[in-house]
Amino acid sequence: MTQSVVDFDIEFRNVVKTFGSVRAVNGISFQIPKGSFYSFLGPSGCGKTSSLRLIGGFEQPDGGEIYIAGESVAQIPSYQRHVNMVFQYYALFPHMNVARNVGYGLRQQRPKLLPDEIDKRVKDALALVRLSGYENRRSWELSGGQQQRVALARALINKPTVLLLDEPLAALDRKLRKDMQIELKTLQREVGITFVFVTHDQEEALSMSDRIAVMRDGKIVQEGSPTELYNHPVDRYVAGFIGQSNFIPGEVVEVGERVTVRTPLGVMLSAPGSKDAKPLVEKAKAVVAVRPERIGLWREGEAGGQSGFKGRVSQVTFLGDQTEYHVETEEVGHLLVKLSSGNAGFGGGDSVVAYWNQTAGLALLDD
Amino acid sequence: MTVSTRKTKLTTALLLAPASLWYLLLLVAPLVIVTIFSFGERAPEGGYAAAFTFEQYLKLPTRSTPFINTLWLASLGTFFCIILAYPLAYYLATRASAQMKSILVALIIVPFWTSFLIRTYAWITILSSRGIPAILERLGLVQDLVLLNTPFAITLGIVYNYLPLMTFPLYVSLERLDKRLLEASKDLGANRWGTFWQVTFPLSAPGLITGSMLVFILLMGEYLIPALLGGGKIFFVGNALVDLFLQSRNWPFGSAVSMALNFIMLVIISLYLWLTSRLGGEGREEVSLF
Repeated sequence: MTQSVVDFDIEFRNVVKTFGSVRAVNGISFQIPKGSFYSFLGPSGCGKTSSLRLIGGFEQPDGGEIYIAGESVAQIPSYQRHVNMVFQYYALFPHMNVARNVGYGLRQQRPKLLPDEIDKRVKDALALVRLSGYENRRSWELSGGQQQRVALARALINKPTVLLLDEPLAALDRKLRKDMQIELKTLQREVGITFVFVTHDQEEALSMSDRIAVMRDGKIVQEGSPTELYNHPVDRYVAGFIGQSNFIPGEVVEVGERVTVRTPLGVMLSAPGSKDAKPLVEKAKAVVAVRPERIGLWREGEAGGQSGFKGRVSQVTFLGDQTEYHVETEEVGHLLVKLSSGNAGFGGGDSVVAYWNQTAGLALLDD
Repeated sequence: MTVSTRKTKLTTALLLAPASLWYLLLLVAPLVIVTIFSFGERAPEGGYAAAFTFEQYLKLPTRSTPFINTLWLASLGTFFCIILAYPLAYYLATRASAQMKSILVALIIVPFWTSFLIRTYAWITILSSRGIPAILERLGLVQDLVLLNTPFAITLGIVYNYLPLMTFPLYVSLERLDKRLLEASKDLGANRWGTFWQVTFPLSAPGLITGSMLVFILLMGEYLIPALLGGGKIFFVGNALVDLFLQSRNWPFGSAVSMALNFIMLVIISLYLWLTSRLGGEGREEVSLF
């Protein structure tokens, strides 16, 4: 095994998994760096959970190879893999108390560990997830957040190479979910174990991950750091999935330093092409994607020298720190604009001019 | 008291009346009569003569054989039911396809559409000297084999008739088992065998206990199987009672035997309730008898 391979805890090479006639995982390849927080993001049915279950050994691939810490795991059953999973609804054993749940993995080890050693490590694991003193509780006596932390302790006590998390926050309420996001990220830094996280919630993925793989129809559409994905999405799908975007469709008329797109109404828009985007060629169908917070609004007549698109505010949604404006323009259609609430002061029906810097948009292939 | 609460009370009383009357007439009253009789004396011509004596209870040891037979063969029957039903229920709940499931469930239930009596009579023919023993002798495997009227025949009849009562509670508890728990167990390093004994089996315990109780409690009152397949040689308590009440017409002694049987059942059911409550909050509501 070469050294370069072992820098990655998980590697997929052209992995395929089919269920009946559905290709849940359609020939994907990726590498997960040691000690990173890696997320699979996508809507349900995109293959993210299947990928996780392939790592855990709960599914066998129909093609391709999977490596954990540089070793092919084709012949290794789930109970011999150095990975542990936090299941979606925790899957705590209902006939065992918290301590016995957490110590389950240690009790399976051969040669057997001494009971004192198991007790001590269970105590440490519960302290790690701030559940000291809960040893004798039953799982149904715990809140969702506490069950979540028992599941984490039960997995981490085995000191796995990789910890797999299958939408672990999905069953929690919003406030608790936010707290657990921070807690999970902190925990990951503390223990230094590679976390592989599956979610359909882009906010969750963005706030915790070092790297994210955006999936669709069994394939990885784009893989990168949260900022890369946000600022340089490769196509309309990623731009729409990660954060919000306005999409103005048209046809590519010129590809140079910037890309020029002509809308059906003949408006010319100029925008940079995404760095890693699929190549845009002339006459290709494209969209110009503009983030709502990159658009500015002026009251009509106060626009100064700037040129923009005239329109009318159709709806105002106050979000607290920000306010959302829906603007109907003649030239580029409907626009969603997000302004910091302090600068706002527009009402429904106001005539406005929407504008954005030419570098704020992004020309992407329309699919 | 307001009119409306009075009305609700009246409705409640009316709704409960038929069932209460039923239980009073057919359960409580007979039980009281049996209790009174058990302290009485046998009238010279048979039946009951008023008295207050513990004589009948002191005579109980003379009828210990039917009690031992009942407890021993009911335990054996329950044991074999578990041995046969567990793999079947496990297969039904975890492995069988939907189609296979309905076929198997039908195969288990359909025999029950035939009378219990007829099915047991059929076994008499099968086990008699012209049945299985004749075939085995023809094949030269055994000689002078007697199957009918033996404890074996009774146990066979018990297992044959009571198997579904064991299978279905087990099936229900295994079916409800969250498959992710099995994955979690394997994820944490337990192989199939370890997962079965540490997760599957303990979580099927409520079904196992319920099935065992169903079979065992009903067997305590069993009369037909020993009468037909035991040929009147191996008495259960039920057969002893029929004998005492109808043949010797010793009603007080029969009553004392009944009371003893009731007492044993009470102990077993208390044990069952204690066991299920110990198994914890969740299992208890799922597949409990009482």
